[in-house]
Amino acid sequence: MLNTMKMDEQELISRVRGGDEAAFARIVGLYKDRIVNYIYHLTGDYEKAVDLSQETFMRVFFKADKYRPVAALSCWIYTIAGNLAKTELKKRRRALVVPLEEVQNDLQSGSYSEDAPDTGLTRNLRTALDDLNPRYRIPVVLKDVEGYSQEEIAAILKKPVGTIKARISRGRHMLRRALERSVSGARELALAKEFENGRV
Amino acid sequence: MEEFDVLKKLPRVAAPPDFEERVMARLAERKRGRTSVAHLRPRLWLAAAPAALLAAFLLVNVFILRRPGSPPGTESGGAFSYATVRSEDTIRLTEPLDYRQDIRSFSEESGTLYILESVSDEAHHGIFY
Repeated sequence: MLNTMKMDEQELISRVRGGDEAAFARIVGLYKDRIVNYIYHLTGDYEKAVDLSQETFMRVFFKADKYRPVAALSCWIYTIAGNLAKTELKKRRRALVVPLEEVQNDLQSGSYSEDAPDTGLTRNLRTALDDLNPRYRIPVVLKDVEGYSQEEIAAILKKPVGTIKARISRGRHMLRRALERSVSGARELALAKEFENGRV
Repeated sequence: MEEFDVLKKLPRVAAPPDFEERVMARLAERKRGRTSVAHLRPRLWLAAAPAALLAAFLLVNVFILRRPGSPPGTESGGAFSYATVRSEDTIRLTEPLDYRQDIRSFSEESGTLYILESVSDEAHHGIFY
């Protein structure tokens, strides 16, 4: 079954090389959800993820002649998507300046109030993942969210398997630490509130 | 390596319903853009070709045909070539001649006036006074 799928994909991409738009639409249909999900977990921005996913498929169409069937088609598509996400993340790191009006508005509206950090796991995970360096974030997402093996991730990122293993391990360790900090911070704040209210 | 299942708790997102339509529309737009650029390419080459020829002609004239050190107006070549000499390049010289040595039948009498006239139709090209 898997071999049949792979053969179908090879057939599809070779048709795309010839400019077959129907074959291209089929590839888009097969991978759109996975690619949008992948880029979303890398960037944290759904709209941007949709935009970059569309750009990913543009490159699949126009660079179809560059694909070599040494790895699965999915690996190649994920490589393109990951590179686009990395570029976007680099742009964001450069643009860290926040307009003063925005900060002042947020202060007035109370967005920066000293409320207790949300103890919801999803939000903490999201925050921890957004704070993780892309060097570790990408392989961790590929492994623990997308379910790729280390060998497949090595093919996608064009790095040795040993490097991928080390980065996944380090990325997970940093995520655990970040989650522990957010949970302990919430506990301390909850305790402080209880004390204030005279319950402790 | 142990599994890190906590990330599986993150919600999975899906592409919007009109995603494929948007991709195909972007593809059509991109193809239109590429066609208009490709259409311009032959015209750009045609426009650039005469400019390139002119530049090549000037380069050949300045750096190859005119050797450094040659006087202006002279052509390159190993042998001396008769060139067009401008009047400002000539230096006037007055050279005294001892006609007793140079003239065959000179007179011993002093005060003899000798009228020089050209005896040959050939113009001397080599020496300029």
